[in-house]
Formats: sequence, structure tokens, C-alpha cells
Amino acid sequence: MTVHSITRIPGAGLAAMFTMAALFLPHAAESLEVRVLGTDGQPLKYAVVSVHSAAPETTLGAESTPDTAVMDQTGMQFTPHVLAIRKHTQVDFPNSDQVRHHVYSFSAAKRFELPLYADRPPSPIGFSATGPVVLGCNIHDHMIGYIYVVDSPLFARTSDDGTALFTGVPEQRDDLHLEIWHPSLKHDEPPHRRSLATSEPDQQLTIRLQVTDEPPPEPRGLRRGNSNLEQRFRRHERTD
Amino acid sequence: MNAQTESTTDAQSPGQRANGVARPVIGFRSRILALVIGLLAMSQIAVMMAVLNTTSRSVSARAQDELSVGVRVFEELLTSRQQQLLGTAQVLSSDFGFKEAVATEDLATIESALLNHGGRIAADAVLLVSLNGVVTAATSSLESGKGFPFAALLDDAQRNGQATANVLLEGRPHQLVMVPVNAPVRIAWAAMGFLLDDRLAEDLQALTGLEVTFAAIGTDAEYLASTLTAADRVRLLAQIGDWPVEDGPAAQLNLADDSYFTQSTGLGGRNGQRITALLQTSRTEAMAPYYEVRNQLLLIAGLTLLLSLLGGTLMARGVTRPINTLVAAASRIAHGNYNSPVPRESEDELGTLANAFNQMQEGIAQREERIIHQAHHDVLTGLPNRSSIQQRLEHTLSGNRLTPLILILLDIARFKQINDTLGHATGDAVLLTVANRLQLVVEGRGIAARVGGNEFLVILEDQLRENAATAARSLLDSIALPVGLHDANIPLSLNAGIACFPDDGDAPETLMRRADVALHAAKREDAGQPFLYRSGDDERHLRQLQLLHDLRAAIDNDELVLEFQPKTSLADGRLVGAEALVRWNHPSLGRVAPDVFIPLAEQSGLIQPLTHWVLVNALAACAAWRQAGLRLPVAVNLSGLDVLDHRLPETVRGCLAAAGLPPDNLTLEVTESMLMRDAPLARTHLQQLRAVGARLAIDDFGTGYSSLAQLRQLPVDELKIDRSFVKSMTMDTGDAIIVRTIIQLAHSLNLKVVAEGVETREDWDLLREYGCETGQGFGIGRPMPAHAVDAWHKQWRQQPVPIKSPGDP
Repeated sequence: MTVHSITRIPGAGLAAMFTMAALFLPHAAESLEVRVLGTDGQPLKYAVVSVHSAAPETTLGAESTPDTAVMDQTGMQFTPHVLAIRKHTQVDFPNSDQVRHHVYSFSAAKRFELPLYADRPPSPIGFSATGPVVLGCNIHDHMIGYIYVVDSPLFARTSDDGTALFTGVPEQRDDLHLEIWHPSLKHDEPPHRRSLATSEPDQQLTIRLQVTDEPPPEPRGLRRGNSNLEQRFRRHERTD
Repeated sequence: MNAQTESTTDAQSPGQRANGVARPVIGFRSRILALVIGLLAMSQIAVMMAVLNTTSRSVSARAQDELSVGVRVFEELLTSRQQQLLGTAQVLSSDFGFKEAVATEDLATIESALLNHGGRIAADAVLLVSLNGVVTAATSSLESGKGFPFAALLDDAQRNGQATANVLLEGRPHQLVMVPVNAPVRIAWAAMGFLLDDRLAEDLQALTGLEVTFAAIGTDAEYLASTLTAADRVRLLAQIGDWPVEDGPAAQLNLADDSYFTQSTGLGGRNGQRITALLQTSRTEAMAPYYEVRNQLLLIAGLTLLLSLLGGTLMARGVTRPINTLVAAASRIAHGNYNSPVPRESEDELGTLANAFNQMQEGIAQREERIIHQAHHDVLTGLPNRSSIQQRLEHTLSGNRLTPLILILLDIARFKQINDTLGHATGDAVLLTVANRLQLVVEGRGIAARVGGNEFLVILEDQLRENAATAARSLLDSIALPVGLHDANIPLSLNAGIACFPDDGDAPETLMRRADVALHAAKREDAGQPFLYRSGDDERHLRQLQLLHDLRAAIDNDELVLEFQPKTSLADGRLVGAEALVRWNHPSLGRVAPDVFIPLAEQSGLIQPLTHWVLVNALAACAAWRQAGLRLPVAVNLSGLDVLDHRLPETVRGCLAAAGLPPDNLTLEVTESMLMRDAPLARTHLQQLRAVGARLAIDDFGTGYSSLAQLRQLPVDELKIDRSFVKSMTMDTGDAIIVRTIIQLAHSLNLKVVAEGVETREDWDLLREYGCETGQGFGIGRPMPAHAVDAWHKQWRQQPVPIKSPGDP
């Protein structure tokens, strides 16, 4: 029920998630704030920013990232629209809608298919390869969601104001770089890469990408809200 | 004359008719018909041309309108088909299985999916194109791994999420639709081609009603999908290369089976290849309504013309039939038939014309009758005239007539006197009276005609010559009664000459001439008795006519000769002169007596040249004698007409001068009777002759009843006593007294005397005793040629008296 209540209020769930992450992270000596802007200078909220080290032995923060993540489906949309996870994270695909969904992915990072189901699939799905996974629903063509799998404990999706805040970023940053990915990057295009060698502690980095945010596509038949088709369905609901 | 005129007319008319035939004549009826039919045909043709022209243009325009409407429909259909294909392709590309197959990136799987799913929507070609424009897989000959050749289409698709175009795949035109493969984001493009084939063409034909042809033209592309027949396709292929690239206005294209209004619409193409749709509508079908209209118009026009030809013929016949009747009537009238009235067939103008014809016909008939009557009758008396009676006579004598006729030619004696003294009105009254009497008398027995001023001809039938004189006598007795006019009785005397058929001739002219000859004889005799023609008179008459004709030639040709009769002094027998006497030796008639031809010369006006001839030749002879030493004046006889000719004195003077003789060598002798005709004028002219210097003598004195007063006034030198007195002088004391008295009378008037007809010694002696100065006669010397005078003179001088005794012949 709790989950139900959480999934029904995405904003609250998200806030709780970030709050929990902040609580679990050790107080690193240094924090890093990255601000991602689009072509038009507007902040991008669907970008995924991750910190990587060239030296494998470098330990980046705590290993205590959660094992599962949730990609909910509510209001005929994948929620969140963009989900960033660490490699080997299990993602649950609960269906909060009253209609069934047929979630699939043909992406190279993860091919899977959850044939028509309601409520919750039998088991979560593990993502062992990095890279973008584009989610679709075979029933509702407009439903598009993204799971970006990174191999780093330091990653975040930008907030509404386009910022991602990292703590526990080592002081020695010569080997570190940022990778910024966005769903609007072109097919097969690698994520944007930015070295952190020259960055100063507590500094806010602003990164500009040649993309813009695109809101999740609306269901085709309902776009105008009062089509004959929609009215017919609504009438049907009332009689129920 | 009449016959001649008629024959001339007859000779001319065939020529006129021939002329009439030679000139092409268009009848009135034909002209009416030609006008009516011509006008009708012209209007029909004009209407037909206008209608047909309009119809043709309208049909053609409508066909082209339909064509362009059809073209728009076609384009719409093609677009809608594209949309349909697009939708279909989209549905297909959204198929999960298809997406899944594409996502496998396994080529064999992808290709099999393309085949399978392409088959579902009956695509002719399916291609999978990567997002960066590389052909991943293809059912057509396009090789995998190579660039997608239709860059524009790809651009379009990338911009709009989908695209369609007409392209050539393997040289064949396809509608190619390009839709994305979303899984769920776009991972590739699926392109599906649909061949523009015969079936599509047929479907579109069913919808547009046009012939539809898809053609690929250009390098390595020769493709035709069409609804046309095989033969038309072959023809179209041959021409299609010339078809303009741009979409042109509808043009007409002639193919094997038909001719088409054709419009092309370009469907695409690149690299020198292009895809064109030709939309055609059969011209024959389009023009079918035109041909129908045309045939109907032709039928209507033909029927109208036929009907109006019929109607026109009937109407024209209605007009021309009465005209032909009138023409026939006019022709009949022209030939002199006035008896058939022209039927009046209608009450219109033609009827009026027919009436006018009838009036004209009556008028002409009356006038012709009058003219004929006038031509054949004398206006004054109403009797037949000369030509009429001559014609009747000819008519009567033509054929073998056996019964006899007598012709009595009458003339009123001294009619000129009646006219002159009592006036022409009286003369006419007399003529009228005679005519009436004649008509009464001959009524039933024959016919009377007026043939000249006062001449009438009576022909009596069945009268023998033996009875002719009696018949004429009784006729004269009935006619020659005094004419009572204005209380005065004019005595009437008639001469009559008779000629009988067949005794006096069997030709009308002969008979009439002989009656005339007889009449002249009667007038000469002046006996008041009818004269029967005497056989031979006519010949004499004719001979005179010939002589008259020949006399002129005789004067010119010197057929005339002069003879000279000597005149001698009775006192001593001396030769004192010679009288020149003219003689005519006619080449065929022999010697013609002067008392025959001189009156002829006087009648015919030849006397002047004759006198001139005598003067010239007599004076020439005189001059010759004079040159030979013989002084012998010549005497020339003058006619009375000569004396009346005022030019004579000048002629005489000229002749004397020409001969070079003194005037006293010429004596001019004039008969007493001539002088008495117009004494004052004669006296004047004689005085002029006297002035010339010639001597003047009065010839035949004693026969002319001249008065002494007249004689006294005449400027003459001598008298010649007529031989009739001299001849019987010695036996008749009365004559002897006359001769002596004349001689004494002459002497008392200071005139010399010449006695003519001296034949014997007794004559000579007695005349000498009476004191007559000169003698002339056979007893002295007969008339002789000029050259014989000298010989006679020599002989005469040996015994200068007549040697002949009385009783000698």
C-alpha cells in the first residue's frame, strides 16, 4: 500500500529517495555541484551525470548504493522518465495503471521483455551492462522511458534546475572525469565527457550540451483531450 | 416584194433560233429554285457550321475539362494512395515482431521479416535503412551496406517523421513510402515500394474514367504500365520520348487504335530518368456527341433541302406554268394566230397579264387586219390595189387553169385636166364614182382594182377573147356616164386596153403589161373604143425599151452616123447647104429610124447629148469640106426640148468655136409645132441663138398652126415648107396655092424659103416660078455620108436639075 501511495505521488517518492541517499552517504570532504544546460541555455532535468576515475584503484565514495530501483508506470508513462542506476542494480517495473503494459527493451545494454502484466512482474530485472536502455510499451507506443546504467557510485540525474550535487568526491581529481548523458543524444553517441582535473573544490560546474529536454510523449489519441475516441472512453468509465 | 420579204424572214429565223439555242438559257423556274435552294443551303450551311463549330469546341473543351478534372482526381487518388500506403507501412513498422526482428540486427532475420511483412501489405519492394542512411537490408537489387539512393526522401523522412516519393527501383516506377521503425525510439527506417503497374492503372481508370499510363522514361528506363491496348502502347512508346518534361496543357496524341486528348503529370524522377503519368481520354468517345449532333444536323439539312426543293419546284411550277401558257400564247400571236384566247388561270398578276395578252391579241388582230387591208386595198376607193390584184392574179393563174380570163385596163381620159381645173377633191370624187360603178358592174363576174392614179383593172372570169371587145364595150358604157358633182355634170371618157388569158399570155406580168400596151394604143388612137391587144405590140414596146436602154451607149460608142442631104439654089442649081440627118446602126437591130429613136431620146432626157453629138459631128464635116475647098453650110435639127434648154446658145457657140467655123456656117432648124408649145420662151432662146450668129429656120412649116403674129415675132431667117405640100403641089391646085402663099408670106416677112420634098423637074420648075429660093429632096440628092458629098457635087454640077420625072419611084 505504501508503495502504492508513493508511486502515486512521484514528486514525494523522488524527494524521499534523494533524502535517503543523502542520509546514507558519508560526509565527504568535498562536494561537487554540476549544472547542465541545454542548447537554449535552459537547465536540463533529464541528464545523467556520473563521476569516473581513470585509475581503477581509486575508490569513489561508499559502496552503499541501493540494490533495487523502481521504474513505475503510471498515467501511461514510465516514471521516472529517466532513471539512472548503477551497474548490477535490480529494477522493479511495477504497473500502477489500471491497464496492462508490455514493457520491452531492444537496447544493447539490456534486451528484455515483460509481456502484458498488471501490478508487478514476478521479479525485478537486473542490469549488468552499462549504457542507455530505452524502454517501450508494446501496447502504448507513446510510452518511452530511459534507464541509464553507469559503472560508478557517483552518479545522479539532474534536478529540475539542471543541477546534480555530488559529495565525497576525492580531493585528488586529476584522474577524474564526468560523463553526462542525455536521452536526446543521438543514437549510438557516447556520453559527454568532462575532465575534473582543473576543477576547484566546492565549485559549481556548468556544462552545456547540444540538446534540449523533451518531455515524455503524450498518448497519441489523447493529445487534444477531447477527441471522440477519448470521449467515448470516458463515457464508458462513467457507466462503470 | 412580199414573197421576197417572207423568204428573207424565213432565212433569218433559223439563225436566230440557232443563236437562241447556243446561248445557255436558265429558266425562270430554275432561277427561282436556285435562289430558294441556294439561300436555304447557305443558311443551313452557316447554321450547321456555327453549331458544329461551337459543338466541336464545346465538346473538345469539355473533354479537356473532364481530362483536367480527371487529372486532379488522379493526382488526389495517387496522393491518397500514398497516405494509405504510408498508414499501412506505419502499422507494419509498428508491429512488435517486426521491430523485434529489426532490433536483432541479424541480417537474415531482418530480410525474412522484410519479406514477410512486405508480403502482408503486398508491397513490391521493402528496404530497411539505418538512421544514418545506409541500406541495412533490401528485397530489391539495392545492395545492403550501401547508401540509400534517395537522399531527398530520407531528408524528408527525417524532417517529417515519414515521407513518400515516386522513384525508380530497378528501372520501374514505385510509390515508395518511408516510415520509421520505433523501438520505441527510432532505430531505423523502413521503406516500402509499390509498383505503378497495370492493375493500379486499371483501378485509377475505373475511378477517373481516363486511360491511365505510367511511364518511366530516360536512361536504362523504359517501362510502361497502361490501360491502353497493346497496339496503342507500342505507338505511345515510340512517341513518349518526345513528350515534354513539363506538365503541359492537354495535347492530342494519335495512337494506333484511337486518338486521345492527353495530359501528362510528372510523378518524379532523378538523374535523367523521370516518371510520368499520361492521362488520356479518347477523342472518338469525347467527340461522339459531336458526331451525333453533326449527323442529325446533316439529316435535318438534307431533309429541309429536299422538302424545300419539292416545295420550291411545286411553287415555281405554279408560277411558271401560267407563264409558259403566256409564252405559248405570245408565240402563237407572233405566228399570227389571234383566235385562241389566253386562259385566265388565276386572279393574281399573272391573271391580269393573261387579260392584257387577250386585249393585245385582239388589238393586234384588228390592226393587222387593217394593215393587211391597207396593204391590199386602195385607201381612196377601197378597191384592191396593184400588188393585191397582181397577187390574186398570180394565185388565180397558178396551177393549170383552163378557164379563160380577160383583163381590162381602164384609164380616165384627160383626168389630169379634171384634177387641174376642178381640183383634187373633184378628181377624187370622180375616181370614187368610177370605182363604185366598176364594183357594181363586175359584182359576181370578176374583180375590179385600182392599179394607178387613174387606172383601173377589171378581171372578168370565164370570158373568151371573142367576147372580150363586147364585154369591154358594155363595161365602158356602164361606166362612162357623166359624173354629177355639185350640180355640175362632168363628162367622163375612158380608154380601155384588153388582154386575154390564155391567148395573150399566161403570166400575170405579161398579161398586165399587154393590157397596158393595148391601153396605150387605145390612148394613141383616142377613139373612145376598147383596144384588144394586138399580137406583136408588146414586142415593139419591149424593143423601144431596149432601144432606150441602148441609145446612151450608142451616143458614146459612135454607133450613130450623120448623113447629109444637099440643098440647092432653085435659081441656078448651085449647092448652098446640107441638112445633117442622124442615123443609128444598132448592132443587133440594124438601122433604127430617127422617128423611132428621137422621140425616145426626147422622152428619156437623152436629146441634149444627142443634139450635142450631131452639132459636133456636123460642124466637123463642114470644117472638113471647107478645108477641101467646099463652102457648104450645114443645117442641124433641133428638138423642141433643145429650144427650151437655156444652155443651148452656149453649147452652139462652143461647138462652132471648136470646129473653127464662122457662125453663118450653121443653120438650126426648129419644127413649127415645137415652137408653138411655149412660144415666148422659144422666142427668147432663138434670139440668143441668133445672137450667136447661127441662122435659124422653121422646119415643116405649114403643119403647126402658127399664127402670123407669132411668125412675125420669131427671129428666123428662113422657112422650110413641109414636103407634104410640095409632094402633091403639081397635082393639087389647093396645095400649089398654099405653097405659093407661104412663099409670098415668107418673102413679105423677109424670110428665105426652102422647099422640102423636091423630087421632079416639075417641082423644081414650079417652085422656081413661085420664087422659092432653095430646094431639097430626093430629086436633088438623097441623104448621104459626108465623104460622098464631094462625088455627088461633081456629078450634080454637070446637070444641076432633077432628072427624075413624075411617076418615078
